[in-house]
Amino acid sequence: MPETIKYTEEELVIMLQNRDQQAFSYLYDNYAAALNGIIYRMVEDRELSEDILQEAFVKIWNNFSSYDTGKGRLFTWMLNITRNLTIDTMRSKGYKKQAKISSDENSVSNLTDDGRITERFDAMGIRKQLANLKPEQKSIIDLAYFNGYTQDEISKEMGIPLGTVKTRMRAAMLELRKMLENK
Amino acid sequence: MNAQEIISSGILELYCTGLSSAAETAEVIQWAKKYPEVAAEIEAIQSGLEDYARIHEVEPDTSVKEKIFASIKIEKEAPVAQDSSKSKVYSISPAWKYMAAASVILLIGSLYFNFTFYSKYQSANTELASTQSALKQQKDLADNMHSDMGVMTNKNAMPVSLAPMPDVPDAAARIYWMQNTKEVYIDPSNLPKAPSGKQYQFWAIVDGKPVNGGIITTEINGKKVYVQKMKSFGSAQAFAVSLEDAGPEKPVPTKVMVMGKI
Repeated sequence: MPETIKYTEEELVIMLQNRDQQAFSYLYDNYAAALNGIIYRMVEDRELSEDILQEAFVKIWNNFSSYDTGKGRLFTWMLNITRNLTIDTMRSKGYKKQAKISSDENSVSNLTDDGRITERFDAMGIRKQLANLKPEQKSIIDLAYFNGYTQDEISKEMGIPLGTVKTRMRAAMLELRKMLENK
Repeated sequence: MNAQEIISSGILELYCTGLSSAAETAEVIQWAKKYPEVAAEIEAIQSGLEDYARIHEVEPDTSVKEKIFASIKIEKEAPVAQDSSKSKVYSISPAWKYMAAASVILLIGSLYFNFTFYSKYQSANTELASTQSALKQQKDLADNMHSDMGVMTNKNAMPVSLAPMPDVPDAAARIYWMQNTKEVYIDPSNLPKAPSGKQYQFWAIVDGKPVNGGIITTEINGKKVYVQKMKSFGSAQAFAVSLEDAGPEKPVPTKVMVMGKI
């Protein structure tokens, strides 16, 4: 999707605070696929995923005044709204969280082969490097980030003491960041 | 805990992946305000996670965006309708009413005078134009007469009277032949009006042969033309005027009306 106009995050935030629909359109074009990817990995249902995405963006628009740049990146704030909404929806629909993250069947490469992933972010090299990420490191990030697991759930799922979730997560994130920086 | 301890503890990662408890989250926000390094580290972790999410993008159907925008547009229009329902009624004091009435009357009066004066101005303008045109006619006439007089009273002018042929006793014309410049002027005002489709042509008789001297203009816009310049002749034994069919000059005269020998 070619973008002719580029806004910085600061500009985008100011425009959105002024209820600029064009900026909102830009926001959607830039972040919808990433957010949808996260929802999809949580619900594993394309239609439901898009319903939640729609609801999330309406919520983002309506609650934009509550976004505080001091509390972190715009995407993180949007992601939190989206993830909370997804978790609520899954609970109300009686979904049971199932950890499939560590297994290969739900890996990034499988999804790519289906053509369901947009390659806007040049990810080829990173994906290869992500394969080098230790499975338990990838799992802990995915369980938290994509599945919305709590520390307690991660501890049980991975069979590690609750106290080590924090340090494991730190190690996994440092590894991931190193790979992303080397891209 | 100092900034470095906070960073290496892993709590920031938990915060960024949404794993921190409410108490921990509040703590992290306080630290981020206090330590720039902590804020920078949070930014870096979030940026990494954002990239990670981008690697996992799943493009939604195009209809999703349309639905979202349809939904936010409806919400946006709603408050506008509410505002218009609360429109206020303002009362106007009697003084302003009279002022308003007075200004309307003044406006109407002004419009009436504008119209009247404009009409007068228009008719004055028309009168002026017609007076000017009449004056110009008079001036043109005077100029013509002056130039005719100039020809007639010129000391070099040799007048030649052209006498009528027997069959047209009323016709007459007069020639003024300038002896210095050899210019020839004719006053055709005593020729009878040429019948329609006919015109007069001027001739000089040179060495016994008629030589074309040009078409005579007897009228311009219904006005009689007096003295006019014809072709110049250095030598001639006689001058004549003939009646010809309208059109180009003829090489030989058809019906001679008047003639005068030098």
